Amino acid sequence: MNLSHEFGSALVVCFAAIFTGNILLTTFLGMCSFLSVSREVKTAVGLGTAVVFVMTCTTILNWAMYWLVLVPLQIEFYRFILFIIVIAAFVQFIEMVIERYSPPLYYSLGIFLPLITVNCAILGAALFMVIRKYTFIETIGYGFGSGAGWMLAIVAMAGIRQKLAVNRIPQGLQGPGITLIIAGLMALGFIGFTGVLQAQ
Amino acid sequence: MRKVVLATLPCLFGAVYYFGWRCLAVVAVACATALVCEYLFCRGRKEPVTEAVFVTGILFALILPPTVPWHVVIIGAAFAIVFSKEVFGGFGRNIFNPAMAGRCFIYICFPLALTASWALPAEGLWRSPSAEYKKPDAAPAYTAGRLDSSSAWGALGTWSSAPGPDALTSATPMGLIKTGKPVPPLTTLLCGNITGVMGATSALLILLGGLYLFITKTANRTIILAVILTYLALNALLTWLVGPPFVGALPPTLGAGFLFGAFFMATDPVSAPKTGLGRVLYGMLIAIFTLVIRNYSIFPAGFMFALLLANMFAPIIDYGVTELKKKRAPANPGTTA
Repeated sequence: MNLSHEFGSALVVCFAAIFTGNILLTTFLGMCSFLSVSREVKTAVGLGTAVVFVMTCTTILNWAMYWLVLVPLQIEFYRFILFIIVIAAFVQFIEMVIERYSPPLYYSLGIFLPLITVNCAILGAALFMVIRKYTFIETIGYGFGSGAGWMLAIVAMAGIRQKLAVNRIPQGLQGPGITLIIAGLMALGFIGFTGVLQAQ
Repeated sequence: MRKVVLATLPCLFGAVYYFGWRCLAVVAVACATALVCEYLFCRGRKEPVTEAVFVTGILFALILPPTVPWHVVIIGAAFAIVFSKEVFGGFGRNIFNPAMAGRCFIYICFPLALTASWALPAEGLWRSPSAEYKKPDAAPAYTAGRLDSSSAWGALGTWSSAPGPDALTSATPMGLIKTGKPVPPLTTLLCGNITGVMGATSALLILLGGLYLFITKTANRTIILAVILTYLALNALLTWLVGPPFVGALPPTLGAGFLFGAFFMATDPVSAPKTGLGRVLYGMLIAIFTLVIRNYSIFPAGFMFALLLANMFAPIIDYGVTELKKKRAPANPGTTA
């Protein structure tokens, strides 16, 4: 398999991860922060950017860990623990680096970075990457695409919720209730992309 | 709102003319269901019921297949009103177009009822020269049945243009394009004696109502133009560059309810963006999503999904455009001073 073919399939995987198999709206991973941090567009963009960055980096790290360490040693069943450790360590490391070199960014990100550690979409992306046996370059595309798809969904949701702020939502549905209904309707729209691009 | 109801009358007539009086009954059932749901919620909020509920009911019914079962109509109309309108606070506050959300819901829940079989239309005044999309073995039953296919009265004398399973087919213009078979000629697409959803087979009748909306400025002109022109241009370009599955600019635009969606659905003032630039972007987004989903996804109902997707991005488009303006407005005096 030559390199240009490889990049082509990475691009397909990337777009498939954004639209066809949007990690938030088709597999419903990462719902907790999606529900709680989608009240304002600005914070949603902040968290979304952080997720794109962390997801891209950790899927690459986890790919290396899995194929270069776990598989040769034949201890693939440790992947859950290892992936979580890698993600937590990476987020902690990034937090320390940002705090040291860019305090304003550190304070603007605030709670988001620690929140990402417990975002199941990050772990989900790493596990999908293993199940679908992506090559290294495809993994880069997949990590970035999944993050971008997650960001797209949370930013759209934040826009909707900002517009809804002045509406009279029925009392029992305020907050998470209406957010889940909107998420359902959004997922209904994303069903339309079924079959457009196949992420294996 | 009354003008929109008026503009749907040609399509409603077309539905009855080609598919029989059952279509009118479907519209009535959809409107009644919508009215009941709306009334229950409005009573709780102590608001009057608005006539917008009839617009939703009519538009929702017109984009259903002529043979749609009754329970599907009722479930869809109830979903449209309750889950895409009332839970958001009622009239004028919905995020998604209620009619399209309702249709999408039943499209996913009852795929057979909405996609498997289509009633053959009455021929009406215009005999179609191409018989490609008709079931050949259905022909004897079709003529021997209650339908006199050459009658100028169309299906006006019948309850349904498909009295039995013989007059059903699985082919629609979009389906034909998708499977690479020849498309019905343009005159047929204009007249509308083709299979399809009951109110949106005839481009001519849609244009009649649509142009009324366009001229009286009931519907937003920017959105209509952005949707149609983008779709025409993209189809022309891709036919030239790629070839099949693209079949030129006109057939996909005139067929399969694209015009109906562009004039009646995309222009819903509540779920569309409010800013000028936002509306242009919104229209282009609808056209691009329609193109992608119609040609590459497993579903032919491209416009429906495209509209829901564009609806969900409409608030963020508006947000982006206003932020951009805010940024520009203080910057300009700053640079000149």
